[in-house]
Amino acid sequence: MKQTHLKATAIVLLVVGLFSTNLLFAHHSFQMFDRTQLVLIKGSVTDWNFNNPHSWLHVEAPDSNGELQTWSFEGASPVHGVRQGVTGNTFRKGELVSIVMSPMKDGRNAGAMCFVVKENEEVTFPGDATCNAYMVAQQWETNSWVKEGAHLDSHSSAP
Amino acid sequence: MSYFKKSGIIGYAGLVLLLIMNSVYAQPGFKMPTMPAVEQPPGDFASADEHYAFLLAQANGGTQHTIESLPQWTGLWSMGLNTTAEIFFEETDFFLTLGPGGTVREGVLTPAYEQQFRERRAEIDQYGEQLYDRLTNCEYPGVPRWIWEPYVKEFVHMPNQTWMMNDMMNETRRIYIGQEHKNIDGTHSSTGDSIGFWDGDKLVISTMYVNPADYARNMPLTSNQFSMVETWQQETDETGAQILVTQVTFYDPLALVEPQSAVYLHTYSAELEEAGLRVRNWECSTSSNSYKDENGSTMFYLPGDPEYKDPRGYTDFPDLPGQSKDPIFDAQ
Repeated sequence: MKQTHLKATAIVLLVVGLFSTNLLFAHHSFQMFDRTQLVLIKGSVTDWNFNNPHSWLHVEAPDSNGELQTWSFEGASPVHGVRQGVTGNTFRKGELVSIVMSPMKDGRNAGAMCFVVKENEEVTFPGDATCNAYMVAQQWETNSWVKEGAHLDSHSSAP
Repeated sequence: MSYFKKSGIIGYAGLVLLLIMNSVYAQPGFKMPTMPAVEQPPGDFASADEHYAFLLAQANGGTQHTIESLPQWTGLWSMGLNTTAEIFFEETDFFLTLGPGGTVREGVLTPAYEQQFRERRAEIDQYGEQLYDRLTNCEYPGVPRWIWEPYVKEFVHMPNQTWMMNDMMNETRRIYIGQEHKNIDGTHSSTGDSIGFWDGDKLVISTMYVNPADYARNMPLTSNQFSMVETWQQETDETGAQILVTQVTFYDPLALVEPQSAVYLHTYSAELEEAGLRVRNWECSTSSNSYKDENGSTMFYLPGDPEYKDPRGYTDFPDLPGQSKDPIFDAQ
């Protein structure tokens, strides 16, 4: 039973990745995000709203001036999140997380989650199809951009 | 690969990804279902009403099921592919419906609707996606988009009604079995008025009185004169998967030059049930912070904005114990 679920989850991740420029899976467009770059945010979880129409992960992290701010990141709806192995219990208040996200074009402290590395180093995929999450996570792992990267580091989203 | 090792799904995903990089259609473990042929109407009908009446007569008034004999489409069902692209594009590629590209087929839509569709497609070609979707402000998908929405659906059959429930915005279609169309509302609605009958294990539905809507994001609009005839049947595909096959004929004298037909698939999603997913009430108006901005694009209200709605935070009674809408997370 577990194997069936894992296979299905993997397939969904892959299909979502292949559809990553074809965003039908949300109830709105993604024009507000700059999907040409991916930014690393390291912060502490303040809230995890695993609800429709989209989940949102809120963290406390410094802005570019070093002042602690609330950062907000949009993710998938519960049904798509569950397919990607994420539930309402995935993130805990106060947990330190590293979020790789497509930032808002208007510069506000928000973005679209691509993938999130938890405190225990588990990689999670709570995002919608704004990036090719699996391939991006693999690229960032290969380059140690999460582990050795600094808060607000940015890299191109191009493979 | 430290953190990948801790994510149980990834090893398999990586293997499959390598196999399918060149073609999503040709790798082990992921079989694209073969689309059933589109069934054309068994005659030239001027309306969905006429079409439905013909099918009802052909079925001799339909099968009179009891609660015991009714088919049961138990569980959660996920959207699959459909052939709507073949109606509206020169190319017969489903994936065109998800993004840019493709050539709009001439003469399928009436001139005004074709012009609108061309403008929509031009926007998608320019920006990579449709800048604003009417669902952003919690407008219901409605019919025909209901069939296409990529969330999970549930079906309940009773002798006198079928309930077809979409996770998305709790939008439920009620199919009144063995009845006539009624509209005492003096208006149309998102799901309209649906009547149906059973022909063995096939459910035949006629729907009318629907609001203007669309076939999906990125696709053409429908008018308030839209109606449709559907047949729904559970089948087993060549991979052994349980699927629901929906044959639809769209009638829309204001938007379509002539009626058009398509087939849609849904797949039984045991993996979601195994993962513990249960459909919850969707409170879109209190949980969505997206809106249409002054440029006609989509934008968010964020924490700190006066318009921001905390989906789990609002209460008129903050000083009263037990008013939190997020007791599990708050207790962590």
